[in-house]
Amino acid sequence: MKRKVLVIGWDAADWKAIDPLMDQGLMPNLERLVNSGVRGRMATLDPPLSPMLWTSIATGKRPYKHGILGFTELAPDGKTVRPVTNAHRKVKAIWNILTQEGAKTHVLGWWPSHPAEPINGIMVSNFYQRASRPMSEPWPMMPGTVHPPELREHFAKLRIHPAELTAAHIAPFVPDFAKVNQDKEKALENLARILADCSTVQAAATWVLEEQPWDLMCVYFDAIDHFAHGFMKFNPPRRPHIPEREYELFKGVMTAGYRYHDLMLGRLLELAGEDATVMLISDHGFHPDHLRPLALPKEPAGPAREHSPFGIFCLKGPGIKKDALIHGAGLLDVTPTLLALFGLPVARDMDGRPLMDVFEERPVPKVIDSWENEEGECGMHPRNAAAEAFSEMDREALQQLVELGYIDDPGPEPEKASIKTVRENRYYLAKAYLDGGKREEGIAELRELFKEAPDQARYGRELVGALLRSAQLAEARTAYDHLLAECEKEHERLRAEELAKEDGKDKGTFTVAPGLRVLGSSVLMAEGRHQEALAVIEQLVLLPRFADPLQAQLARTLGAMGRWPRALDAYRNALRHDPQDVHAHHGAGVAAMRTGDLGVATEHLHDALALRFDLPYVHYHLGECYFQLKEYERALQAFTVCLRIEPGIERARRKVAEIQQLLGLPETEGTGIPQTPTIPEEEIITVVSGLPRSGTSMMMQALVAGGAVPFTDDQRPADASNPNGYFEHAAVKGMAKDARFLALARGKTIKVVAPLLPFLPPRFRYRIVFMERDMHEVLGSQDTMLGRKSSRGPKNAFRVGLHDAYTKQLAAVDRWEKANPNAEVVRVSYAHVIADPADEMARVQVALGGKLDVAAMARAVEPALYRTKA
Amino acid sequence: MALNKSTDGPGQFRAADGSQFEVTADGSLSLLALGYRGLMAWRAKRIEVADLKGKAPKKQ
Repeated sequence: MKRKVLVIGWDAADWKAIDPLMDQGLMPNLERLVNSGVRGRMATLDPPLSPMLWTSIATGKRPYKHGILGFTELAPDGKTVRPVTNAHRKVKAIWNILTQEGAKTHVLGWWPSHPAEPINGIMVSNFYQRASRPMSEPWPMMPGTVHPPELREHFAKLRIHPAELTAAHIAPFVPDFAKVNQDKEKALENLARILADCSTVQAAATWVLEEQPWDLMCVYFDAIDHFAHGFMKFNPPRRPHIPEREYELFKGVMTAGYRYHDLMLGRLLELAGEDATVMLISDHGFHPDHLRPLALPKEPAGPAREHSPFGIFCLKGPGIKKDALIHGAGLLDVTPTLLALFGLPVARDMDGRPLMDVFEERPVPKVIDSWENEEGECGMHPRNAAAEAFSEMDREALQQLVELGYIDDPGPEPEKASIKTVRENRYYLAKAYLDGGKREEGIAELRELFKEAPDQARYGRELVGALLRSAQLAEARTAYDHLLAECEKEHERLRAEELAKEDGKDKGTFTVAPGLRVLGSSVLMAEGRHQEALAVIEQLVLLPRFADPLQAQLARTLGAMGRWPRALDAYRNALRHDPQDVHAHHGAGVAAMRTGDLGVATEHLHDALALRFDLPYVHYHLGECYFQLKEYERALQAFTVCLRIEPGIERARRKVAEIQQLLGLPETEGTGIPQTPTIPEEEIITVVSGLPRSGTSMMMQALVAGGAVPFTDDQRPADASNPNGYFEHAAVKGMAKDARFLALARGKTIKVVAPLLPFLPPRFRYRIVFMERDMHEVLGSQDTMLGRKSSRGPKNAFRVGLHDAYTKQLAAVDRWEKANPNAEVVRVSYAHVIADPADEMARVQVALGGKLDVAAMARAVEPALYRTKA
Repeated sequence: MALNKSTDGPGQFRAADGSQFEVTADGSLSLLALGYRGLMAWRAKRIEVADLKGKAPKKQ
């Protein structure tokens, strides 16, 4: 059967707002859709800005691939700013792919879709609905708004001017509208404009559905987002800072807005027909509850702070499960899922995947490398043509973005505005890189931005955060100190301004913003200054405003210190504040597991997966829980899912093998676990580690003899303790502060003592040969060495304090190993190496990829050097 | 609000169950939600009412 698919976009729709309305029977059409299909949350991307998100939805690709990077862009003159168009979209959208496949495809109002593309169907751009002049004046339509152009006049007549609306339209939103002083307040005017805009799109969409043949129809409504930015603050319950009068006037707007969308949905469902496949989605959510921010930052895109990270996803149609929940959907999955629905191949260069769980019978999706290389007329604008076709800036659309707070008013100096736009879009690009795991690209962009505009604190904040995540501690510290200095400079300026005022009072020194202090605590944590970090957070959580929002940060800090019971309490507090905080659920699961409460741990980990199914480490930890509970089949399932999502997690692969052995099952084949991705040898860093005097130099020497390339500066000469040399590199000692040199160690073998292992940045892959030696021998050997070096040194005295310190270090290495799937660790017994070098070296050789010369490695071991014995 | 696709003339819709659906000059959210048919019916009704009053509203 030929499938017809209707995709409806409701910008900012959120189940947190919808579910209470459905429970009261106020959204019957959506309820019908939900009951006849699947529903789930849809995870958004960062930054959560709608033009970028809706383009990712339509292409299955992240912003750095599709090229749409913000609300505004430069006009072709390179000097003026205009609302974003599709001119810079570099890849095919779903409507281009279907056009290429001969399907009848219509697109209405998608953001951004101007100028309309010449697809096989109708496209009405997102500049269609906006009335820019009073009703008494002509209402021209911008060139390029409608494809095919002959339908232009027809669609022009379907537009509704806000001034056409009457009290009958406004009263359901604001029953006491007569009490609003319209000379002073713009609320009703804004409301009428939003309502007229979305009703215009509805009029156009219903005409197309009734009068035109269609295979795919995509229609986008921005009204919920616009209602929410204007009126969500008045949604019940009233918060103390909201004036009672405004609250009473506007408290019903959001409910009315959702109910109106339900009415429109009912009509679209009716026209689409029972056999149609219908997908209803939003690009992000919008907090309707206590998570509504009290104030918004005065920066571009500041209002996006009101967005919540989960949008909605609904799908019904032939072959789709009924009344079912799906987990882990993300907006990058929409286009791959649409392709699967049409039986078309999914492309490997897309960042999402088809949501196979929606199907009653899972199809086997076809796969191609890319749709970009597939020949055929796809209805995209020729390169550059789109940019030139739209040369007139739509000031009205620009003004709307200003009013919504998404962009600053360009003002009378267009060139300044254009510099800002370019910079802002680079910032969003950097955030998109970081969100997509491209840390180095994101950091590179942020470095430049912070250098160019150090007064923009958010550039610095984002840079410090990214540097911390990639373990570039020295630079993170420098950037943070710089950021702090810039903020102090700004405080001084503000203070001077205040004093210069006629009645200005000295308000004293400004304090560092709490957000910056939290970031500072993260820097301290990364530097291993746990107590100082904890002190900062503990001080901040005493302030009522931060008591709840900082619980997750407090929990992370406590967890890193191994204080698991307190960490668990803090995670629980964080979840009381935001039950949808997936990372808090994950953290609580890990904390509960570490405290031995496996039941609670599995509960939290399942809660995390119900929110986001695509997080491999949540599955991994769930597997760990079940393994400890001896529920091996469930553990196997969790580790298997973990590997399906992220095949590179070696530890999960080893657990699978262990369980298969325990259960007497055949090996991985047929379980659907992808093969380990082949990582080129030249990308892997081989690390020889262990406590000092545990045989690390001996192992280095053996590996080098076997053909490994050492990463060493040869600065430390051989001596009596290590007559064959130390094979060290001085940079390793400073690794806690700066680990950038490790990029040069890829494909080579480096010695890193055990206490420094936790400072290996997660962005590299490691094979670690960890030397284990009897602690008495280690300490004895160290004493011998120190005794030889200094006559004042202690000799052969067993030191309890050092023994305890080393034991703690080894425990820290164990913790680090458990938390770092990018490292494969092979533990080697020093005693076995001495006793049977050939056997032990054969094992090491296999663990390191099988390319070294075992005989040469074994020959390099000199048992004569085994001088300190327990 | 299941309405069929046809109108019985300006100001009226026939619902799926055969009952008549009145269109008023003031309009309503239900009419707007119906899309272009609701819009056209509402505009036609406004013209009809304005004609009766001897004053036609501005056409879109």
